[in-house]
Amino acid sequence: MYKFKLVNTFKLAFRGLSRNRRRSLMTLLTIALGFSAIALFAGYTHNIYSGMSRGVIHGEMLGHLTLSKPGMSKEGKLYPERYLLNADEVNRISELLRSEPHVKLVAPRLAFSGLISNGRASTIFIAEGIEPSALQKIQEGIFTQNEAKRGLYDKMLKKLDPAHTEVVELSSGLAELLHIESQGQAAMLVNTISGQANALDVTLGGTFDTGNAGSNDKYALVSLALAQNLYDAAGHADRLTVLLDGVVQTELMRKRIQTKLHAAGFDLEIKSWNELSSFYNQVHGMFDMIFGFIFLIVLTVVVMSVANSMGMTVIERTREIGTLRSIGLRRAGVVRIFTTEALLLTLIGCATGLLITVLVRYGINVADISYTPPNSVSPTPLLIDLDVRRIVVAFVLMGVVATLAAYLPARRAANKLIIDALGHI
Amino acid sequence: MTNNSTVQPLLRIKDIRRRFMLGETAIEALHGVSLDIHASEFLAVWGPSGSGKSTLMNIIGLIDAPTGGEVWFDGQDTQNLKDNAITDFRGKKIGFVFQSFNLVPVLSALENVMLPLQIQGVSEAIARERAAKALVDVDLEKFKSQRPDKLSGGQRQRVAIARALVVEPRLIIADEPTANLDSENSTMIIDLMRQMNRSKGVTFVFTTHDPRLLEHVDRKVLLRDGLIVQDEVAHV
Amino acid sequence: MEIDAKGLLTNGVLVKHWFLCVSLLMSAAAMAAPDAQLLVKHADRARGGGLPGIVWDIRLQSRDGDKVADEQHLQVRAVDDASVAEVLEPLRSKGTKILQVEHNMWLTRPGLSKPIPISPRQRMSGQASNGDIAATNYATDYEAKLVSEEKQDGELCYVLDLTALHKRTTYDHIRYWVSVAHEVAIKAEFYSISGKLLKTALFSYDNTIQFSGKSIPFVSSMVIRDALIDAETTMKFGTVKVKKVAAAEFDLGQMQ
Repeated sequence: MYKFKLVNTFKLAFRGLSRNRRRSLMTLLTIALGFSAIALFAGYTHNIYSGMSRGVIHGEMLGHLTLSKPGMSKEGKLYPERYLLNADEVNRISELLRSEPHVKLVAPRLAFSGLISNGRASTIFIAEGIEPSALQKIQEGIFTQNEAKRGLYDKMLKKLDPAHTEVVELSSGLAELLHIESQGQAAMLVNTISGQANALDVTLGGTFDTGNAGSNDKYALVSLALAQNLYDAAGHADRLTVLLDGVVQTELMRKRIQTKLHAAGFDLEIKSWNELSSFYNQVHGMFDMIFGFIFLIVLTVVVMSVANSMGMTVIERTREIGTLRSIGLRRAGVVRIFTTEALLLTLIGCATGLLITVLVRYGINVADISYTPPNSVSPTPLLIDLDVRRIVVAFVLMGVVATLAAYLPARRAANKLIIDALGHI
Repeated sequence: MTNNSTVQPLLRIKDIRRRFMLGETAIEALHGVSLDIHASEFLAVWGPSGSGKSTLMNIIGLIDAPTGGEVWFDGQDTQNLKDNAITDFRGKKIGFVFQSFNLVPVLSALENVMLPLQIQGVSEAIARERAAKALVDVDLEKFKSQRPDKLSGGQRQRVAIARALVVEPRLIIADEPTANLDSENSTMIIDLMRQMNRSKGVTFVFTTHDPRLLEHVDRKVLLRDGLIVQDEVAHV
Repeated sequence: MEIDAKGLLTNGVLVKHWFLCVSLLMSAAAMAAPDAQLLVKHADRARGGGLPGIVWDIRLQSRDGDKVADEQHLQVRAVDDASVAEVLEPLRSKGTKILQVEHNMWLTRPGLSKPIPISPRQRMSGQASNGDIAATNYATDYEAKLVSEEKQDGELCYVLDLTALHKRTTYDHIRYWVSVAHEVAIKAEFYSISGKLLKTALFSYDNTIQFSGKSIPFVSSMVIRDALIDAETTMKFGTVKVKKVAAAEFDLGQMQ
């Protein structure tokens, strides 16, 4: 029955479904609800991932790519002097990178630690050195259009003064610990790259929240110039942060840059933002696993529902099957009729599910619900995106699974002896 | 109808046996039936219930295979054909009319008649045309858009006949085609079948246990206990 | 010859006198412009540098803000560029040793399987930073320049500026007050590369040791004050003896 045109097959399948409207409808609803559960959860996680990625790339200032000397990530903290890029290297590599397409920003970075004192007591600190202009530029992508419009979160942005390198930002716990007030003085004591003691006076320009109770009493954000000064390493950097014009460019640009730098004689290690953020990876992995579970459960329910529905249909239409076989329908044709019915039912079910998804999504997004996620300080809005990729995958998999679920009962019917089928009540 | 033994018969069955297993017991429905049917014949197979009429019809119609013996249809040995080949053969050369009509309830009369053509791969336009013509032949043109549940028993059987005829088969098998109809409709159906036989030359073989219907046939084959006991050619 | 002998005599005496004056002045100047580097060497010696070996006791008291730690009693054995300090009191720290060889430092404790290296970072605070300051070889690590003279605590001192000769020193720059009369360092100010004052140390020399048949004053107390936080350590040195210390004492492998 491969000669039977597709349109006819679907017309016949459609008529077939209308034979038992109630049963078809129940199965259809099951499929629709299962589909919308998948689509809504996928949309929710999609929103979370994009929010997190913005947080990692722009908020944590990881940028899209981080370039450093090989070994920096492993031993860099113990022997920083071995892995620093000197001024010449920083300049040449930055120039090479800036000439690449999609590169929005190349920011040399220097991280260091030491003791900070208020004149009476001291405590350890961990600092990030970054150029003030780079700091401003990299934070530009933190907010979604909606959030930026509302302007509520502007004070969450960090700022450094390019004209005053001694003005620093401290995490709020650290400022509190040492009782340093705004514009208050403190002294940072570190070891230079060669191990000598060095200290500088700093002024508190502002505070920020690391969002993590464990690090909120230790962090400092300083100008790159101050960091280089303290470290006695003018022009040096321990890594280069590269910001691209879009997340999707990350892998492509990584390969490009690696090749280009290698050709220029630089042997650098390039890591992407999602490799460096273990938090992102852990949350992503966890949600992916949950999604997988939900998907599996929904598929199982769909299979069982379709198999049940088709099983009953096939039994009820045994006589009809016998008739069709008599008038020239091949066994494969019989199978095709029922698998097509199942497929059609599933497609309509998924389409209905999609409609439900769109409506529920609209409702939730408009409802302005907020919640505070784990390890966070402030509430996040509950929003659901449309994860097109996963929706398409759901459509395809559900179709495949339903077709398979109908296949067995259909085959059993097709293989029945015609005379038995005809004699079936 | 002339019985030309020199012309190859349309259907020749030789020493057909059919055994059924009913649990542990074996039942022989046919004990060795041989029969020649020629083109354009209009014959009835009759006999008491349990005589094996339906079994014989099934075997002739190629929807059942005998346990022993040969079936030659249109000069072709049908024994060793694979299922797909038999199915195609059947679809092109044989038409069926069933006791319970067996129309697809979700299709209109016209669509039901189109079905066997579409199964063969005929385009929808041509199938529609031919089906419409077939319905005209059985005088049901007005009802072509109606679904079977809107038609009377007699009308339904006429649709079934149109469906059987539309593929222009060599042979039409009708197993107790009037059993579910009243006497008036029964006669009407037999007359229709005869009319089709005469006008189109299609061979008709039907079974019945109603002796009154036997008056309309050219040849009667009496089956009793799985064997042919009488093969009479009637005079029309 | 009867020339104005008195005049001639007077002139001669005047010339001689003048010559004597000039040479006196010159030698005075020569004495008044001492070799800064040599001064530092002598000052180092009064704190244990340049001797074949020296053993002494330290009683250490440290205060951090309002907290006063328990008094510690240590025994130190040192040669020119190495020293080992062993804690005798309090009992809970007894047996702890800090080994310093040139610019490296290790700590070991009974019960530890391996000595722990102490990085320059860790020498920024605590016991190790004191040990850092107590190490004595300024003459080899710094270039000395005489800046001025001034009275410190009632005693006239040469004020020397010591600039680090290499990057392995902890402090890039030290201001050193060396007593004119006794050639011992009374005060030291320790600066970072950026020029910020990090620590101040005050010394007293009431001990004496015998060396090459001479009696040399030796440090008796050191007060180290932190410039960035309110903390102070006082070390009192006693029972000082010049004694050859075997090289094995500074062998890391033998530390257990």
